[in-house]
Amino acid sequence: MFSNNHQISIRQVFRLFTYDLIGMSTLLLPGLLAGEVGVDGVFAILAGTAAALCYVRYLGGLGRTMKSGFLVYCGENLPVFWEKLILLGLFVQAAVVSGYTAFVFAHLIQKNLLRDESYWLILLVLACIAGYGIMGGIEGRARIYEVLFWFIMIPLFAMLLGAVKEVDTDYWTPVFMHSAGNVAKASYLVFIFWGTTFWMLFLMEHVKEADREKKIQRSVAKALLFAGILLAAMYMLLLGNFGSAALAGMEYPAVTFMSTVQITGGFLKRADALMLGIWFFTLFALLNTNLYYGARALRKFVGHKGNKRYVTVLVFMAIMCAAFFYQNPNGGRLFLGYLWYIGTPLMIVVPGLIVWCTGRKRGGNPPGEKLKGRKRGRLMIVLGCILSSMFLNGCRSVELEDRCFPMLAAVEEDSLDKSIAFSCIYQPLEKVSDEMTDLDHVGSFATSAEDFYQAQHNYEKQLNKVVDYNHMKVLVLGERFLADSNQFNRMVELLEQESDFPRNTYVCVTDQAGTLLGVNESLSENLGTYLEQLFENDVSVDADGLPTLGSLFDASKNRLETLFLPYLTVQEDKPVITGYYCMQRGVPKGVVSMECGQLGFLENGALKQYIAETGNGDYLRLTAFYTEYDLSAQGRVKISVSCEGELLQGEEVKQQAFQQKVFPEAISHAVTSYVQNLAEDSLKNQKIDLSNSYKKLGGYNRAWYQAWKKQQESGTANAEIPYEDTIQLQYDVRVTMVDH
Amino acid sequence: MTSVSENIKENIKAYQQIYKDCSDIKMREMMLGKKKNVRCFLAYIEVAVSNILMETTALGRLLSYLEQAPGEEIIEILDKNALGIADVTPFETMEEAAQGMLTGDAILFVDGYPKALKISDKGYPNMGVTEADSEKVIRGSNEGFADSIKVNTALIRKRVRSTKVKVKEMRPGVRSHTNVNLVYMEDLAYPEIIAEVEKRLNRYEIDGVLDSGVIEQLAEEKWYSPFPQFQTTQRPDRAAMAILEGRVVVLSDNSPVALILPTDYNSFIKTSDDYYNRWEVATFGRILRYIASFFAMTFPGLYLAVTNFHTQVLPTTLLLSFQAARQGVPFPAVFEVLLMEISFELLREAGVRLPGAMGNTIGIVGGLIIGQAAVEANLVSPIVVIIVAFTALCSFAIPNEEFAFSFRILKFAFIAVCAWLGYFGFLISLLMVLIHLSHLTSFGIPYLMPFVGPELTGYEDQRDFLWRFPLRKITKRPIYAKRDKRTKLTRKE
Repeated sequence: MFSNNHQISIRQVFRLFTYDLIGMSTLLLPGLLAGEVGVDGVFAILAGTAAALCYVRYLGGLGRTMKSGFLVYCGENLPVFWEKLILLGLFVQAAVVSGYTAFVFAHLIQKNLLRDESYWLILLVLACIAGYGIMGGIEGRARIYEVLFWFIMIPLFAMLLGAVKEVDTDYWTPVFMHSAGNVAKASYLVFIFWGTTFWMLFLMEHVKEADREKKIQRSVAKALLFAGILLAAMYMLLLGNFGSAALAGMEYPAVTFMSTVQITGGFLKRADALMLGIWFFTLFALLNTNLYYGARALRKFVGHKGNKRYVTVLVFMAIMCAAFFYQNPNGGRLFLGYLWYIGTPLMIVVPGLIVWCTGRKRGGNPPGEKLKGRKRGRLMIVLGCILSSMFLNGCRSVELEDRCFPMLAAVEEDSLDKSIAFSCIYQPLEKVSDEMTDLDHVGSFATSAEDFYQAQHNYEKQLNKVVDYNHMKVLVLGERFLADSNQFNRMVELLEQESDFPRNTYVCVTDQAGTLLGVNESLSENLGTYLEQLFENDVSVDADGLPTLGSLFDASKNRLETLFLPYLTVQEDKPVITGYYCMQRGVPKGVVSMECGQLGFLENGALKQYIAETGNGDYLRLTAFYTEYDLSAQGRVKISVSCEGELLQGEEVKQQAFQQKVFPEAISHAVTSYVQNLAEDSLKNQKIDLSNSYKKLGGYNRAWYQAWKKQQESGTANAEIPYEDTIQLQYDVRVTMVDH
Repeated sequence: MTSVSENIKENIKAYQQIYKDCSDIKMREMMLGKKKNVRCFLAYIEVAVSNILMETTALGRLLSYLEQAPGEEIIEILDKNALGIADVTPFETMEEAAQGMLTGDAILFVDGYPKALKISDKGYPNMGVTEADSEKVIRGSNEGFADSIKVNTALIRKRVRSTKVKVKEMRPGVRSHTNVNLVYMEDLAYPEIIAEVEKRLNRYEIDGVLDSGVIEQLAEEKWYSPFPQFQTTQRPDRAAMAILEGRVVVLSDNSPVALILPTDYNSFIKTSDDYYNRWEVATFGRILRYIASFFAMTFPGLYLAVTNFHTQVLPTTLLLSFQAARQGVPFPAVFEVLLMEISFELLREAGVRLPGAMGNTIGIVGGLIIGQAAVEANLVSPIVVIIVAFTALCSFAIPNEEFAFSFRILKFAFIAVCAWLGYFGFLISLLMVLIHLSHLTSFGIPYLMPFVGPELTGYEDQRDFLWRFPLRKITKRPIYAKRDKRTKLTRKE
């Protein structure tokens, strides 16, 4: 009576299109844009969205001339040849897009949720579900997304908001470094992803409201604007978290992003698996949309009644296309190429073609029949195939008791034969039964191997359980291993590719990893947990600013950051941070003292407390840091630091005398000198820039940045001079004494 | 069809032939009139009719009067119903008369009168009005429907005292001729829905309709759906509320369960005392029930997905404690979960079947002793017991038993798919349920109202779904009522 009348509301139109637009775009576009135009990608997004809005307006114009549905209109107003050509083109477009969507969808699921499962099984399940999903017609589809809308958006917004505090604004600069031509290309790339708005023409017959064409146009435009703003915001957040070079190297940056974000007060350790539900439903929507409209176009093309067969054909085509993209390593490029040169121009030209051809009288075809029909028998057959394939593949899950969860992993390079060793530490389980677990002991180093991959592999082969690294807290690197750039870079590349180790694993360095592992027995808990707590409870440095595995991945691509990895030594059977190991733009620079290393955390705001010596054996505790950079003069880096100070030692009388005797300016001067000396020594002796000013260069002094880049690219002798040799550091510390 | 004869001998003979070998059917010949010269014949079912001599009953009064009345006037009295007895129905054929007696009334034949008269009496024995077994509420009436359709109709009338309440009678059941009443508000319910209900009830010819459940199963559109498309209730206040919303209530004789249609997901989550309690209490309860309905279906499956496939989701300490708890358990996690779920379903079934006090005891025996013993014997891990218990609590929180059963059944599908495909399987299953629900309608109303199509009622229905606005803010009836009759509350100035 009310429903099954194949009518949907404007609200449903908005939600349908929002789902169609945000799925693929937020998944693939950030990586593509970062590779093309880096930071300028946000402008490309805005420009592409603006172009798409114009396109929607253009489609709305055609919609206003149609009194009936799009297919019926074509049938009534176009010559047979043009009608068939257009329908064929739409069918191909829908088949290709649904095929690529199915490919990405299945690949995403396989990579992030079911690594050991068959790709074909996942693809088959998805395709069948998508086919089932469109059996209820447009109403069924619209209702699903109408219900799910806020259940998807709210967690997405929460995640994005949670990520705001992790953003490093230095990654947002410099802007306008790419030519207008490149940005225009990138804008077109964005426009391609908004091409699904074409299908709004098919909705004209499904909305029964006054002035429906205008309302549909507005609704789709609203959805487009929503998706565009969301994409832009997400892009900025991704850039701010990873940097453009690292972002360009990621396959699904949004999913990687989800694995690093922590919602304040959240219960879960990592939410990326659960947040994948967002892309599950949005990609499903896009797949569904293309199958649905493709089937309708095909049915009109063939001219016969019935619906199920056309849906079946489309599902089959989608599976074939997905298989093609899966087998072909250049599949992504081919798909983009197709859209670039054929698909999107088709979507632009078709409406114009229709308008041009309209007016030629011809017999109209009967209106298209509704898409419905549920032959349960066939569904049962499909379900039967899926169920039987379950037995063919076998169950891929691994029970909890068949897994081991290392808390810490250590990698070391032997000083003599340069072989690489790998080992892990586990948390001893409480014994529920008399059965002993065989991993309640310190992991011993595996036999030597040529590289990290072999070492890890050899180690895992020794065990009778599956190693699950998802809860690993700390990665300990031997100093020799770290200094061996070749081995280290291979490890970073492998870990990034395999995604076995979580990105938020702390990374630290020690001289002899074996010695460090040896203290595990003397600690109250396993070494991994102990070190995690050591880092998180450090009064000087905020754990959020400590380098993690994700930082190493990004640094290896961006080549901008200077990282200070905690350096551990064993004192009285306990690991202690005695310094920091510096990795400057991906190059190991060696160990620096605690005082120098802590200064390095001023840049990212992670320094909580700093003990400065003022001379005469007096020490100041500095807190509440605020740092500003001035790179206006080329070659000079001025770092102004404001902080609060508190005298640490001396009796009360001495404190008062000290404060009365020494003017505040003198204290500031003393601290400035102290810090300046440390920075200059590091710069001169180890070529370490404690201020990490290279990262700020693009944002603070564009001319200097461009001159430096030009010099680097010139290949001249000057290009080999390290950046650190070309700068002078000037610290200015202002201390406000507080009386606690 | 045999007409009732004026000759009572023929009538007696025909009637005795119809009810040959029926020892529970009593047939009495009497002589009426002052001069005892008018022969009559009374037929009735033994326990359905009270003592015919008692003057407090209509039958007794009638017979007593006719005994004293002049013989020549008896036929005129009967013809004109001069006594003014209600519920006297004349029949012109023997078949109608024979059928009429089966409603529990008495049939009177009088010599010389060409009609048989059905005179109402106490009717068949029934349980009477008792407290509703299900749908317990903290606040509100405790009356429940009885087995008698007349009583049930009266219980609804008691609450909605309007001339617009209509009761349409039908008689499905070829042999049982069960009375079925459609109760609705004439000015609120859509005539198309009433017509559709009648059409569906007449679609099948069935031997007997012994309960409203038979009607429900024959009349629902998607018989294969695990979700009920009729709402059931044992509470008259619930039925009255439904009528006031413009819905139709179907009552069946011999059934204490009424059917309400159309229905939607939201209707099953609401309870009567949602409207008797304040809005904060009602809203909290409503949200809790929605969450409970989700977890009743998905919790065990999610547990399997997370522990077998996606361990990174859980905090480390929790994960390690799960792992420690599973040490020594010989079965895979999925088998463990299935074992506990099936055990729980058996306990539930046994508790329903066992009489009285024993049924209460089974909960203690099952829950405490068997569960504890299973854990100590290392057959299952403690965490699975908690998972299953929590899931059970969630299903108990769903007010409607039939609706809760949908989630109990789907839970097993989720367990299977999540054990096979992890979180992906969870998403697939959830999507399939959503797709199915989006296709489901109940007499034209989408099952997911008002989550979908709220603009149809100007978003008024959204004042009463996940939350309940203060009563004074809910001024409109839901989508079931006719468009021009949506206003149900106005403020008098």
